[in-house]
Amino acid sequence: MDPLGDIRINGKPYRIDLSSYRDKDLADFSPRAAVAGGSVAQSELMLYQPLYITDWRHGFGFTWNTDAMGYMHSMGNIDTRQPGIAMLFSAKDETTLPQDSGNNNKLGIVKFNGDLYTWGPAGVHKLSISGTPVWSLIFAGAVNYAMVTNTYLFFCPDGGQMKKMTTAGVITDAGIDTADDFKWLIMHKGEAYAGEDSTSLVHYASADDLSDMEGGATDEGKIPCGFGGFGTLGAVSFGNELYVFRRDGVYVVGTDKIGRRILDYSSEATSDNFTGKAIFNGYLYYSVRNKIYQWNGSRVVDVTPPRMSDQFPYSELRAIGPMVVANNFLYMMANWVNYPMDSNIPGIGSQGTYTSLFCFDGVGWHKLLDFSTSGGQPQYSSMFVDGDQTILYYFLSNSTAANSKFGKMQLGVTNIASRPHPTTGTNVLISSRLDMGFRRVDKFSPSILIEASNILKAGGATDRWLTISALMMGKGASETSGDRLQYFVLGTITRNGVTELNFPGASLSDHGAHLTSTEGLSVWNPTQPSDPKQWSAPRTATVPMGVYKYVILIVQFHTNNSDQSPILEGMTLRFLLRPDVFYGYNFNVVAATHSLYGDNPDSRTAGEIIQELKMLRNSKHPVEFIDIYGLIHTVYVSSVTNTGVERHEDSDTGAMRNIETLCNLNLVEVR
Amino acid sequence: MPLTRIRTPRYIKPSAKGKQTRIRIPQPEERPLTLRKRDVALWNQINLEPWWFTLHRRGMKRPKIGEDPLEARAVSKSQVNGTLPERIVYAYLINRLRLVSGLDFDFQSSQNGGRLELGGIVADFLFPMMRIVIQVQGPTHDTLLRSKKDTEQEGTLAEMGYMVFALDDDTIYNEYLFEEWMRRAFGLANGIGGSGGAYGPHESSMDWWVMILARVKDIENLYYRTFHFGGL
Repeated sequence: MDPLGDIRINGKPYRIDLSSYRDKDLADFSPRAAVAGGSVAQSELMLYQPLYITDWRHGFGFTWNTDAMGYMHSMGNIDTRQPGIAMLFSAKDETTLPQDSGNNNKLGIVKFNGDLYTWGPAGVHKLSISGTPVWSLIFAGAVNYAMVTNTYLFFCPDGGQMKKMTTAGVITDAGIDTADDFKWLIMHKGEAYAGEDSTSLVHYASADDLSDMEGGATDEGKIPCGFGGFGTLGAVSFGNELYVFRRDGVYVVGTDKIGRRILDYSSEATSDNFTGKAIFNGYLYYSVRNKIYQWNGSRVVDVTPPRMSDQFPYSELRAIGPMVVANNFLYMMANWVNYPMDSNIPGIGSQGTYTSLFCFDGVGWHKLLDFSTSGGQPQYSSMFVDGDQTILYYFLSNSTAANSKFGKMQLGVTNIASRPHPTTGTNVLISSRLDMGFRRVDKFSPSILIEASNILKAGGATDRWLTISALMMGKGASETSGDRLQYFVLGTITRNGVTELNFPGASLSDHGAHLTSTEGLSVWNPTQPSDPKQWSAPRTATVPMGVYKYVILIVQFHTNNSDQSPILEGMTLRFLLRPDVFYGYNFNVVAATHSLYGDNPDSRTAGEIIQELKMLRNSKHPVEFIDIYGLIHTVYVSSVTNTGVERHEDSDTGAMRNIETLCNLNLVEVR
Repeated sequence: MPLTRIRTPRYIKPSAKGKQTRIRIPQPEERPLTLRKRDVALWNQINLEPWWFTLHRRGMKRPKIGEDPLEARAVSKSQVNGTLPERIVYAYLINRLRLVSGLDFDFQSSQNGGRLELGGIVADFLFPMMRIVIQVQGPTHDTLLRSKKDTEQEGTLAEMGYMVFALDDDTIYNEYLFEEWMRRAFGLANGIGGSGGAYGPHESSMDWWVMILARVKDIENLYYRTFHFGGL
């Protein structure tokens, strides 16, 4: 016991009226989060609060749970485009179709007379898909572009005269003899337009067989799109106008057959600009370096997919490749650098360049599958949707021909991803950081409810199931240890309907032993009363805690049957906000002149004690408070109320004022 | 003489020139001086519960903290001066659909006099390029006068080449129903043609209610047009 008082404030002892001493917790036990990051938080009429996630249509890129329908990332084949469900996307097929013998880059794919034709530096190749799939060389030599009509396949040899091939396979020259070295062809307003390679001239013709197509500077109908230097790269017909792309901008060819630059990208002109371009839902989408823009005829909006990971360095989009539109979705091949968020996440892979199929539905971006986990050159790749068969054909270029792949995947005739679904690989959906709107407040979750359907787990070849994991950022070994990420497998979903999975620490038995009297609690260490870390909790380092600042939920989709996909319909995370507790103290200090405390006289007068307390009340910084039990706290004096009790006459001191006073103090703990 | 005599309201009675006057919504009274009132009773210190009544509480008292979930979906009032449903729609347009206010759409667009002239039109969201209008319908739009005014405005906007979509508050407040509504209005991938899994899309049942309510509303309008305003 302190020889001079019951308590100490700011190092000075004070005697108090013990019967007036009160301390009380001032923090709410567990306030309800009115909004969990904008998501649906409902009531289950019990103590825990549910956070409901049942739609993922706003796509990836939401690091924090600021959107009820967004998530952070996915790996493998995950389809989140459907209302109310997440499922496996279709599997790619690179084995049914043969690979081209040279496997050279294929800059484009078209379908003509029932078969596929590709073009690129190694010429025009035919892949007969009407019968046994076989590759055959149709035209040797680099070809810049090809365009089909019902009767002809037109193609543009690099440096040579334009050719046309009939359905019988007869190849002849197209256009007059100056129709050389075209970079692209397009139909627009009943005419065919062709851009010269490495020049800014555009030519046009109207005959069905393009016999009137001219080329070169002698063409009186040539359309210059800016000055020379940059060649035109391609064109699209959008909004009744012909948009011609150069590496330094976008030109519009009007009815007066003059090309005018309407969008200027000369400050970031590169050869990779406009590698992706498509018209989707009334907008023109195109790529400039690693950005994707949306143009509606009067304004440009950046619609580039957001970053996909939550830790530096971030996984972001890099090179952008071809875009195609099907089923009211914009599909895009692009590569990105994978910087794994946490190596424990299944399927997160290792650092490297991935090439994936992205999909934009007008609202959010979805990553549907990873074409390659080891590089890729989407700017030299191609995609084509065969509307007759609802098949997406693709050629993925890579740094080596051996790693370049020609493949296909079945698209659904509706929005739903079609079978076959992947039976190999790791396919995971990674949620946003679920912080319930309060990043620095600890939360505790006892369990999570998973709604799923089309689940079967009988140990056979038709099994499809889900595995649920959690990545929790929170205290690990002790209450005062730094926050850290911990990965836990919560369980497996093996049946339809709702399954409840427990979080670690939800049950005392999870600890492997009964809690000791000090586990999880803060205790005072009397051997070091001045140690500011005296409130450390002596938890053992191996005991996991279900307490977190935020949690990332990871759903892994499995199937042994390529015809079936497990369906995730909803996740309900039960949680409790558990803010740090702090206390308030209230007691009466006895302020009397030269009072005796045991045998020890206090040299202060009542006025001096009151003056000290008033100074403490005015303190701008917190002060130390040692309570009646000897425990140390950091507090503010939040109020002082003095009440005079009795006048003491003292013949020795004469006129000296000696008024015994009770000083009612309120102290508020701070941390 | 008919058995029941239906009196034509004066405000839609044809004028002497033979032209119909547009419906005028009575404006709220505004007083130059607002008298502030104050309740002097300290209700929080008055126990209104009788001693014999036991209230079964839902657990311990836990204050609700954080931002309102609907406000979290909306742009702030400081950014857009509108009602909460309007601000939710606004946020969706600029954040999710990436539309540009002032270019892609005009918020609170005044047409035919707007607010300056009684009977004018203020279109909540007018899309000049798409030629559509989204009218956010609050609870007062169910009243007879208001619904007739809406019908009149819809006709006027249709004459100007705009298709009008009415979007009610309940749809906006339901996050999933609103998502589906917007996707359908803007021609984006939606629940049509797909499946929501074993239990169907969770907005499907609500869709039926929307359709039924719309049908009932149509019948109501037809009834009023036919019997109260002298035919179509």
